[in-house]
Amino acid sequence: MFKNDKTNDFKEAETIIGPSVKVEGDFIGQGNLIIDGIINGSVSTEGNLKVGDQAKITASVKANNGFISGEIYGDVIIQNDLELTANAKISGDIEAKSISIARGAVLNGKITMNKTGKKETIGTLKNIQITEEEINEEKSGTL
Amino acid sequence: MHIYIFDYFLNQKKYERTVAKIETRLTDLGLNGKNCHVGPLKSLTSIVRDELRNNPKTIIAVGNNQTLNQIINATIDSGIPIGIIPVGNNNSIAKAFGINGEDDACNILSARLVETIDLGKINDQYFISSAQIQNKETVIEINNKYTIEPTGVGKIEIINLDINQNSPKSNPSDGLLEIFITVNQKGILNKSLDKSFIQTNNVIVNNLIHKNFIIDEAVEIKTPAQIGVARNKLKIIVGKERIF
Repeated sequence: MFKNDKTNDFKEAETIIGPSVKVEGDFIGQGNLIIDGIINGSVSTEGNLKVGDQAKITASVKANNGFISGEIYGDVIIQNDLELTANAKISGDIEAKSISIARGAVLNGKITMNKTGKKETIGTLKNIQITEEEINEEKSGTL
Repeated sequence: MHIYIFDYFLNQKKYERTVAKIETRLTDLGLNGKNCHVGPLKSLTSIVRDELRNNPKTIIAVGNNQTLNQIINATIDSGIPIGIIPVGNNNSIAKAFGINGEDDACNILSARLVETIDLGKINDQYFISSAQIQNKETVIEINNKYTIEPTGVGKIEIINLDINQNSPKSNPSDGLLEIFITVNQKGILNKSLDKSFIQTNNVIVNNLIHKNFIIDEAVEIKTPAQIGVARNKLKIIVGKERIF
């Protein structure tokens, strides 16, 4: 999705919010979006979203695919794949078709999987750190 | 008929030979028309407005970025193709149109390849390439939906024609402006630039310490400023080596 990590790679992204920029309001885009700065309000794009590790978003977030390294305080709705890296911190509910969570990611909220168009809540998490193995175990009913 | 507008600074002695050379070359190519020299008693804008009454075939700016900007603003709704003969310094826009120097410009006028492009509009003024302002105390409001505030020192560029070719997405015919926000980051060992990039067609920019915008690297515009796109507003004669 975002193979090139350089934030100055304007070829792939329609919009880049750098670390030294603060955005307030309803941010609506259509292409790929890279956020490394501060956003208060809401973020919505029909393309892919990358949230860098310096980013701090206090907003509801909607995108096609998501790659999250920074902090999000708000609900996250992803149409397809969501990847949380070890630096990711999310306080809010997540909805996605598939989720990958790295060890060290912090997630406080409810995860809803939506593989067939039908919403399916797989668990509610409160103030804990979770790993991918634990999610798989939860899915298979062993947790 | 072609109207050649020679800017005021070309009255200086050091440009005498260059102006004579241009006039000779135009005659050789069969492109001779009416040569109008801007002087202390007649401004460029008033000359252009007078000449527009005669319905000229082309108006050619002989000078630099500032000359071109003034001519575009004076001829804005006429639909007459504009040509450029760059002389002196500050000719980055002509270069972006693939025009390198006086000789090249005369050949390009002769070939007469006309492109229609958008113009940026800032308040009541039009610009071809970009509008720039410093970051400090500047707030950008985009499409009346969200605001952007840079948190460090640097500059904001709102680009129609990307003469520095920073963004491959920039196209002067797409109805969009590119906003580049650059913030200088001072590290212990080196300095780096933090860049942000947004495309839009409607921006309001306010500078709380009343700094001005500079359009086309030449003309100052006061803030607050509303900036948008005027679609397909300019017909311009370009060279084959243009950047778009």
